[in-house]
Amino acid sequence: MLKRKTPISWFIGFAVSFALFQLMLLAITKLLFVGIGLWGVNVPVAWGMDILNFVWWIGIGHAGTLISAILLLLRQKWRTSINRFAEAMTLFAVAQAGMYPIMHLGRPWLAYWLFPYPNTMGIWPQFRSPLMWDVFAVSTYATVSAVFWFVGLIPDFATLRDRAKSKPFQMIYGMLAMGWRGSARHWHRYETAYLLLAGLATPLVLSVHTIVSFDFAVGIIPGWHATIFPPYFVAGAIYAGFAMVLLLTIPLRKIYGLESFITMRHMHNMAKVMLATGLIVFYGYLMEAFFGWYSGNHYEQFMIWNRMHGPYAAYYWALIFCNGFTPQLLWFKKIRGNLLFLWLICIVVSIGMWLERFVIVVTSLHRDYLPSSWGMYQPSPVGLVHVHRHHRILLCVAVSVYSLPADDFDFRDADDSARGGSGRRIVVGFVFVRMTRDMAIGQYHLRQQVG
Amino acid sequence: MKKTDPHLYGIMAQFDNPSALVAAARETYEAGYRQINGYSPFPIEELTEAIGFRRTALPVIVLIGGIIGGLGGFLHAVLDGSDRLSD
Repeated sequence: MLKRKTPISWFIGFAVSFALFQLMLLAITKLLFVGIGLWGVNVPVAWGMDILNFVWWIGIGHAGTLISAILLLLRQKWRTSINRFAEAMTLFAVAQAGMYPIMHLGRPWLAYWLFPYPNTMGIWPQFRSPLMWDVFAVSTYATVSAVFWFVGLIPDFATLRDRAKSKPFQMIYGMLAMGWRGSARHWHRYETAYLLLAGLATPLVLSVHTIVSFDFAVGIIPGWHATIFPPYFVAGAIYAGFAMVLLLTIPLRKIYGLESFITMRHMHNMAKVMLATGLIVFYGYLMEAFFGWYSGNHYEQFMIWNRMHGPYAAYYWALIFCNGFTPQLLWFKKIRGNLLFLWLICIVVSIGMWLERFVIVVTSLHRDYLPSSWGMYQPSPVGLVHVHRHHRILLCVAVSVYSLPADDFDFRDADDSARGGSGRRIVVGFVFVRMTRDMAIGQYHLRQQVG
Repeated sequence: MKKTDPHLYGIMAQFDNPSALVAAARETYEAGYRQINGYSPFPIEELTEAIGFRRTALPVIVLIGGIIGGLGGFLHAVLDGSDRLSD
């Protein structure tokens, strides 16, 4: 087991993240007192950064599950160096995402009303609403991801328990390890459980983001009421998610010296998945434009024209650049292999995916059927600061519990067992530093003109 | 182990590589022993078979849990999501 002293960069990262986290807490407190008007949500754009960020984060989480569950079922061995880390990323992404539906409620202290509990008011939640379906879908996703992550970690917690130097850690890891002894029976049940969970998590990747896409697809306004949304959103989620995984993996790999463990082959494979899903997403954009025109429907046609030429046109074309043009660079092996370039591409893709949700949410809402209802979306100057808080990410610190086994299954290595059997298990202390992407694009020159 | 020790609960043996371990497990099983267990830091598929551990009830339990949960959730949404009693 490799254990290294925590590098100084961890402390710096932690300090910065912690400071940002405090800022976020301040912003949330202000929001609870003042209300979501602080975000600039108003009529006609009654949904803004809140739903946008929710969808963005959930999408990112899906890549983690795809790497762990789907690649496992497809017997892709290359997943093993990155899967545990990806699963942890999913959990944190889902935690991020989960905050938004609660905070964007008018009365977030009544968030528990979203759950079906027998109450004195004699009411149940509105099961016909996609927002309710979201509640169930995302809770299920969070639960299954957490269980999947934890079950996978049990043998590793056992290793940590066995190697623990102090009694408190021995006890903590001992409880987490749940009595694991490495018995052949344990391994058999472990593998069965892991496969079952992977089998459960896989359809979840598809269904959860489909349900999220229904938040829009079930609506009636042009630009929202589109049957292409489920596959388009799922592909987009995986696209954004892999970008995030790469964004985190590339620097962490360097800092912790994991180059021989997370190899260039892994980087190439992840980049290829990004390329494939990016192409699907771009196809989605082309189809939307096509439907808009081909439909012959006056409102649909306007919707597409407005995206391309209206007040938010800059966002739309930025989107096409980020998500249409940029992934094409990934066709080239040289570019995929240049990690700095790949990292920059991932930033562009992350921004692009955020822009996609922005374009969908805002451009469709701000000008729908009745011109008298048209308006613009702009968070107030004070709200601007708070909006940035709200897509600031929580500080997630996974310290020394993080284990990246070399291979989950079929691990037969004679050298390894000669070395005592656990030579290839690496325990790394990570900090997940999620920095805000300051979406300053266009924010400062939007003016609210309502009524 | 002393020859005079009256209570022999079991024997443990340590091996250098997985193949030796699996071979030993098989021989033990063939010799008629059933209370066998094998320990390894990583999963060894053949070992599980060699010690005679065939089935776990886990998949069935998960299936039953899934069916109950699915039916329950669906029925709840359908039955409580609309008026059942007319005015």
